[in-house]
Amino acid sequence: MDSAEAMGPRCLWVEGGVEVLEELNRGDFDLSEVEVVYEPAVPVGEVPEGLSSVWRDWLRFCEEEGFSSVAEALVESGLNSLVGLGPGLTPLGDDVLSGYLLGLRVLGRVFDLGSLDLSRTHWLSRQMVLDAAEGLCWSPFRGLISALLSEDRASLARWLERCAGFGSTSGKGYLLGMAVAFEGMGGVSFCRG
Amino acid sequence: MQRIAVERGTYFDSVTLMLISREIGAMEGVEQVALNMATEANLRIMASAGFDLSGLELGESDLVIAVKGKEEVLDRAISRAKELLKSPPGRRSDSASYFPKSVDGALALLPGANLALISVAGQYAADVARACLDLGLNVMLYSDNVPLSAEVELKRIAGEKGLLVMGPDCGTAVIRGKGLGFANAYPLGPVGLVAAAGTGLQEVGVQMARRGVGLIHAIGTGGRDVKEEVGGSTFSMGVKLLLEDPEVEVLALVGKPPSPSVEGSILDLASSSGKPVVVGFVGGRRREDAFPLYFCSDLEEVAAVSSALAKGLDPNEAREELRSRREEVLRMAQARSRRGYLRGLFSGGTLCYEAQLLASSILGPIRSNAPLDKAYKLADSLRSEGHCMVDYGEDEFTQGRLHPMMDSSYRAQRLVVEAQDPEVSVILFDCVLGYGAHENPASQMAEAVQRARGICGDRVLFVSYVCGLEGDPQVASRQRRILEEAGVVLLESNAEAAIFAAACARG
Amino acid sequence: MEGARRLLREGPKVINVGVFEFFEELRAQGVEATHVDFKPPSASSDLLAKIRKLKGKV
Repeated sequence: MDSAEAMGPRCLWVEGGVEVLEELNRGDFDLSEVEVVYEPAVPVGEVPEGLSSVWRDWLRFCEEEGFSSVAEALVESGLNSLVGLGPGLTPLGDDVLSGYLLGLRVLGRVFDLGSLDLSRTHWLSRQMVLDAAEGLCWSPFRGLISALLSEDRASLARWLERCAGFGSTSGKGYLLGMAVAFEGMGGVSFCRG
Repeated sequence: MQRIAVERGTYFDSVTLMLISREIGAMEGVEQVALNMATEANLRIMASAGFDLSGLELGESDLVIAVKGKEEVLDRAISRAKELLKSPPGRRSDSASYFPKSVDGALALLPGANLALISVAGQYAADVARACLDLGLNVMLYSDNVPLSAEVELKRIAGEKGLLVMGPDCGTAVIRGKGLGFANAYPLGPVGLVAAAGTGLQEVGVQMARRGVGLIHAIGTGGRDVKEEVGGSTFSMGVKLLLEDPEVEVLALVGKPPSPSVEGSILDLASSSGKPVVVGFVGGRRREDAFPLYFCSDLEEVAAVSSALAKGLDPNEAREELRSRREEVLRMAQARSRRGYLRGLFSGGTLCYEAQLLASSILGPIRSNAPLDKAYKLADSLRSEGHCMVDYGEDEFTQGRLHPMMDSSYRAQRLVVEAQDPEVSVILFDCVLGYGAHENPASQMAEAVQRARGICGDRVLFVSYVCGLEGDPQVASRQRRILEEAGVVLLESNAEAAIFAAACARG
Repeated sequence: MEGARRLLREGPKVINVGVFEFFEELRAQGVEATHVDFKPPSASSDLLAKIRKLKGKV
């Protein structure tokens, strides 16, 4: 990894050299003394209404190739039906779910994970969902959310490029989920039938 | 009927190939299409689908493009497939680009946007344009088949909001030297254009550039704007804008003749400042210059006069130069003269119109699918009669097909047919370059010329004009060379080509 | 005519709706532009309508 941009949710970017590694290995590492350059937790805030047309566009990913079964499941059967749904390293259903949870987190809302049956998906994807619920995500999404909250449109456009291209459909799934959360659809049923 | 093409030493993934074959398969007249890398398995599949691949030497890194269907669409289907391979429909998703799904969404990301360029199907275009005007955007409506009532309403609203609506059916515009839609790489300069004719705009821009003069803005209005019902709404706004613009020193007006009342108000407006205005309502009645208005009969003359004015030279000297050059063209024609029918095949509507005007003064009435006089309309656009010129941009040729500026294959096929008519002695065609146009129109036509000459030998004279500039993506000099090598006689303007061709056919 | 004047003064900053090639030609000239993936309103799927209706549901 050569830059903060490539980082995933369970990473901290710390300035320092070999000594840091040695300290880590010895178990002597003291985080409070270190300057952290990158910290993956999403900021929390009000998503600006003036940018609502941007995330409403993400709802239209449901019309794209490969999305229909996941989108239908969400609409007909609620969030729990998304777990493990669809092919891929991270099933598209998990991506949408993660995006939704992350979106709620940005809005400062809490979600009861106990309502989801996460055993239905594999460990990597399960971890992604759990991370999202804690407000942890890949840095392009963190960049996107920062830009959104600060209404920095130019950066927003740039981060969107990165996020939409993430994986083959993962990024778009994430964005779709986030849009559902931002649209105040926080009342989406998580367990229906 | 089938046609097979092979692209050697290449690779395309199956998703891209599938997306392309889907698009080709949707073309009218195409019954079956297959795009596959030439692996053993794929070749077997194609053979069992009924494609005859015998005699072809194929390796795994060769791409086979196979099409079955009506004879007349096969060449086009192949060339379309090749175009799509260069910019594949599915490419966007793997180039990781995000595209907003709504104009609102787009504007939120690009708040400084000041123009919407709309080229969706006609039945949706007006609604999209209205939404854009409501958001404070100027509009360029490339789309045609927009109802007249919708156009009138859009322009009324735009007038109230102080916004420009260029179109409907506006294929070309230039703002601060940047081309919108079809446009050439004109140099920047002190001339401003208002044009109700797309290739009219292009020809004036190209001819000015030949004379070392550039332009800053060329406002397109769409052809219907200067009719009674629309009242020249956009044309007038364009004239006002450019008359008051300090960066514009000379104004040129281009198009077919407006409705009389509209022409009257435009000319009144044009005379209102001291800025020189060159009026090129081609095909209208000839008028005497009356300061600050200079009246011209053809597009090259508009360019010659505008260029002279921009350089501070005498426009009448420029006209004199034009006159003597055209006399020289007539002399050149004597050397190549051969009595017979003249057939013109055009991708540019205004170029076809102007060519008819000039040719008819030499040969008498010219038939066309878009004739000067309704009495000379071709009964069947696909069957030439006598001296005639066909505009391939007209509706009957563009339904379900790319515009001829984007693809000349349909026109090229016609060229070969015309050459086989024993009464035809001269075939004239335009070759329009620029952004948005086909990447190699000269080759498309040159191939057809070569095929034709194989059949008719030297009986037919092929005449053309390359409407383009060195800075265009196709590079004018390269395009000219391709045509010259195929034995085509090239002239320096649309007017010259028409005069030359007509004089040759007169015998 | 201020909106029109602004266009001429600033140069085009374009929202392209329709033919993707026009967007590419604009970018090739260095024009600031974005492209809208236009879908006719009638083609808007039932699915999208249902997704939009999720708002406020418990």
